[in-house]
Amino acid sequence: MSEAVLEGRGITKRFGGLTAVSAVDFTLRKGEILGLIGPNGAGKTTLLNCITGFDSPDEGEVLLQGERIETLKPHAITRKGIARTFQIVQPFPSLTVLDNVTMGALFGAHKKGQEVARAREAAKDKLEMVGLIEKADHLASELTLAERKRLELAKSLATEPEILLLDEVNAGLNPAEIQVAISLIQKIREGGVTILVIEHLMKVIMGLSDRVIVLHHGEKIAEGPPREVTSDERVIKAYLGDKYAAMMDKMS
Amino acid sequence: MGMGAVALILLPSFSENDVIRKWMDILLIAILAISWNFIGGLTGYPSFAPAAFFGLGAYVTAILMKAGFNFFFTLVIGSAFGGMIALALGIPILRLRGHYFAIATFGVAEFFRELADNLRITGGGDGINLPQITGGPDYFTRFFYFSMLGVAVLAFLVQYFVTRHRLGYGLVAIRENEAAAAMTGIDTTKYKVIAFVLSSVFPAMAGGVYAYRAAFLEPIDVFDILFSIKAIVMTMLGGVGTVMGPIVGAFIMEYLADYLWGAFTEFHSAFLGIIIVLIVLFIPRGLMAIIQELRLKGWRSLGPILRSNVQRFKV
Amino acid sequence: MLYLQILINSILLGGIYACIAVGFSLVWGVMNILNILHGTFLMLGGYVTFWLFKLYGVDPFFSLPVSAAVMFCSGYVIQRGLINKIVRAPMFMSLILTFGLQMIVVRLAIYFFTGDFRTVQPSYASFSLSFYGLIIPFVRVAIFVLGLILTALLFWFLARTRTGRAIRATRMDLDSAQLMGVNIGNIYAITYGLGAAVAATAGSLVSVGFAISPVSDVEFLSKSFIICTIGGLGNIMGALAGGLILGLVENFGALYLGPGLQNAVGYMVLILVLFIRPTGLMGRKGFE
Repeated sequence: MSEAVLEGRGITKRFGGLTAVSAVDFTLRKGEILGLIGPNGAGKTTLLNCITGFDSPDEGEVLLQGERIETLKPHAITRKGIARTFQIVQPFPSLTVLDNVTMGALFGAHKKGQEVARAREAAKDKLEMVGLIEKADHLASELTLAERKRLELAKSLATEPEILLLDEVNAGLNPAEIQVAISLIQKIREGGVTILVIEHLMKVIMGLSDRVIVLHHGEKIAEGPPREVTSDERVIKAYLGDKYAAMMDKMS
Repeated sequence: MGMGAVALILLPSFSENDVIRKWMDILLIAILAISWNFIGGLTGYPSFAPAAFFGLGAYVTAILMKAGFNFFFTLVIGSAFGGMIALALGIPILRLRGHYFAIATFGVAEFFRELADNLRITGGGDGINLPQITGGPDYFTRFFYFSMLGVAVLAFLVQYFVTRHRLGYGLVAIRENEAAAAMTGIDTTKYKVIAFVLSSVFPAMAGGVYAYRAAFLEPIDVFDILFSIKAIVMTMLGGVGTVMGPIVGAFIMEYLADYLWGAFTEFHSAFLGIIIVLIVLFIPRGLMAIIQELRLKGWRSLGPILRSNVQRFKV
Repeated sequence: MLYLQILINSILLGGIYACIAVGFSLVWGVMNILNILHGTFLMLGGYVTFWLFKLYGVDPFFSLPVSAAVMFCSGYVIQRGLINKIVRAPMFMSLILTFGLQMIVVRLAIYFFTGDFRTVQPSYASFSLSFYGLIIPFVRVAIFVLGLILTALLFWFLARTRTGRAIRATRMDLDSAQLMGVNIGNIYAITYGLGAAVAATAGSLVSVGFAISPVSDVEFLSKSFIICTIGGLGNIMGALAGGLILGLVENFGALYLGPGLQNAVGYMVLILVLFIRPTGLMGRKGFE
C-alpha cells in the first residue's frame, strides 16, 4: 500500500443550521484514483471546497504530506500541488484557449517567476494531451460544453499538480464524450498524478476507481473497493431509498 | 510606436507653443487613461480613483514646493505617497466587487476633495499658490511638456511590460473569473493591490506637473471627478485592457473635446455628453476591437458591426 | 437642549434624505444600475415645482403629482430607449452612459434655468412651531411627513400591485420572472420611471425648504450613494435607516467638527460602511 499524500481527519462544515459535512475522514494514497460518490446534497462538493481553500472547515484538519493546509487560501493550495476542476466549468471567457491554459502554466505549483514564453509552450503540450490543440486560438466562450470540460482539465494539468480533484467532469456529456474523459483520466494517472474523482455515474466509478468513499447527508457511510461498496446495504439504501433496499432484501 | 515616441520628442522643435500645450493636455489625460487601465481595464475593477491621486500628487507638489523642495523631488515624493495611500486603502477596498468598489473609489475621491477644501495646510477653499517657474514662455511650455512626456512614457512602458509579463496575465485572469484565477494559483489580493498602486502613482506624478504649471490650485479643479470619467471613457473608446487603447482614446477624445470647445463653447459639455452616449452604445469594446474586426471582414461591414455592438447587450 | 434640537433636525432631515435615496435604491436593486441621472431627476423635479409656483402660483405641495408624472414619462423613455440596450453589459457601461446623459441634461438646465440658486417660498414658509426653546419649522415638518407618505406609497405599490410584484420578482430572479411572462424591458422601464418619479417628488419637496440649482444634482447623487450603502439595497426600510443615520451623522458632525467638514464626514461613513459591511444595515446580498 502506498503512502498517503492527502488526508482528511474529522472534517466538519456547517452552514447555519445545516451540517453539510460531518466528521469525515479520508485518505488519498499516492498514485491511486479515489472515487467520491453519494446522492445529491451529500456534501461532496463542500468537502472539496474545504480541501481546496474555498471554504474552511469548522472542525477537523486536512493534511498534505503531513502538513496542515485547511487554513490556506485557494491559490496557496494550488501552489502546493493540488489542482481542481469545478462542476460548473469556470473558464476565462474572452481569452483564447491557449491563454486559458497558459494561466495554469504561469501560476501553478512551484512556479515562482515563470516566464510567459515557456508557459505557453507547456500549455501547448497540455492542449495536445486533451486533444484541444486545434482550437488553441479560439475564444473559450466559443467551445462546446465537452470541450470546455477538457479545457478545464488542461488548465488544471498545466499547474503541474501532484494531486488532481475532479468535480463531476462528466455532467452533461454524452456516452462517447464520457469515454474520452475516462481514458484521459487514466492517462493522467499514468503520468504520476493522484486523482480524486467526484462522480455520480456508477459505471464511471466502477471502471475508474481503485477505491471508493461514499458520503450521505455529510457523513461517510462506506469505504472500500468499488464492488464492495456498491453492494453495501447502507449505500444502496442511501441511493435508492429504504423501500427499494427492503425489496432487494426480500429478493435475495 | 517607437516612431510615435520620436515624433513626440521632436514635436516642440517645430511647433507653436499652443500646439505644444495642447499635446501636453493630451499626454495628461493619456496618463490618467493608462493608469485607469491597470485597475479598470486589465483587472476589471472600475475605479474612480485616478482623480483622487491626481489631486493628491498636485497638492503634495504644491505643499512641498512652497517649503522649498525641488520640483522633481516632489514628483518622486508625490508618487511614493500616492502609492502608499493606494496600498493602505487598496487592501480593504479591493475586497469589494463591482458597484461597491466603484462607489468606494468615488467616495475616496470626494473625501480627499472635502479634506483639501477644509484643511489649513492645503489652503482650504481659497487654494494654494506655488512658486512660479522662471523663464520665458518658450522655456515654460517646453519644460512642462517634457515633464509630462516623461511621465507618460514611463506609464506607457510600465503598462507595456506588465501586459507581457505574468502580472498582466494574472490581472486579466482576475477580470475574467476571479474564483478560477485563485484556483489557478494567482494570489488575487496581491495582484489587485499591485494594479491599484500602479494606477495611483502615475496620476500623482501628472498631478505634480499640472500643479507646478498652473501655479495655483483649488480643490475643485484637481479633485474633479471628471478626470476619472474621462479616463474611463477614453479607455473605453480605445479599447479596455489593450496597450494602445488608452492612448488612442485619449488622442481622439482630446481633439474632439477641443473641437467641440471651439465650435460650441457654450454647450460643449452637452455635446461631450452626446459623444459619450454614442461611444457607450456603439463602440463599447473600443476602436481597437472594431479595427480588428474590420480588418478581418472588410470595410463594408462597418454598419453591421456597429449595429451588432448595440444588439449585443439588449435585454 | 442643543442636542435635542439637533436630534430633531436630524430626524426631519433624515426623512427627506430617505425620500431622496429610495428611488436610487430601487433602480440599483432591480437593475444593478448606478443611475447617475438620479440627482438630475431630483433637481428637475424641484424646478418643475419652482416654475409652477413662480409662474402660476401653484402651491408647491400641489405640484408634486405633476413633477412625478413628468419625470416618470421621461424616465420611462430614457430607460426603454437607451439604457435597456446596455443593461446586461459590464456595469460601468451604464455608469458612463447615464453620466453622459447627465452632462447633456445639466448643461441644458443651466441654459434654460440659469445657474442661480432657487427656492420656493410659499407664504407660510416662515411659520414655525416653538416650544421649550426648540424651533421646528412648519415647512420642514410638512416635508418630512410628505416624504414619509411618499416612501410608504412606494412601499405599498411594490407590495400590493401586480406591476409592483413583477418588479420585485424581476429583482429576485430575472430568468424565472421572464419564464412567467414578465416583459422585462417594460418592467425595467417602469422601474426606472418610478425611480425618476420618486426622485422628482423628493426634489419638489426639497425645493420648498432648501435652495437648488442645476448643479445640485451631484450633491443629491452623492447623498443617495451614501444612504443606500449605509442602509442597504433593495428595501425601503434600508433607505429610511440610511437617511436617518446620514442626517444624524451630518448634523452632529457639523456640531463637533464645524460645518465645512459635514460632507467629509458623510464620505468617511460611506467608506467605513463599505469596509465593514458593504451590504449595509438591511441590505440583502443582491448584486455585487
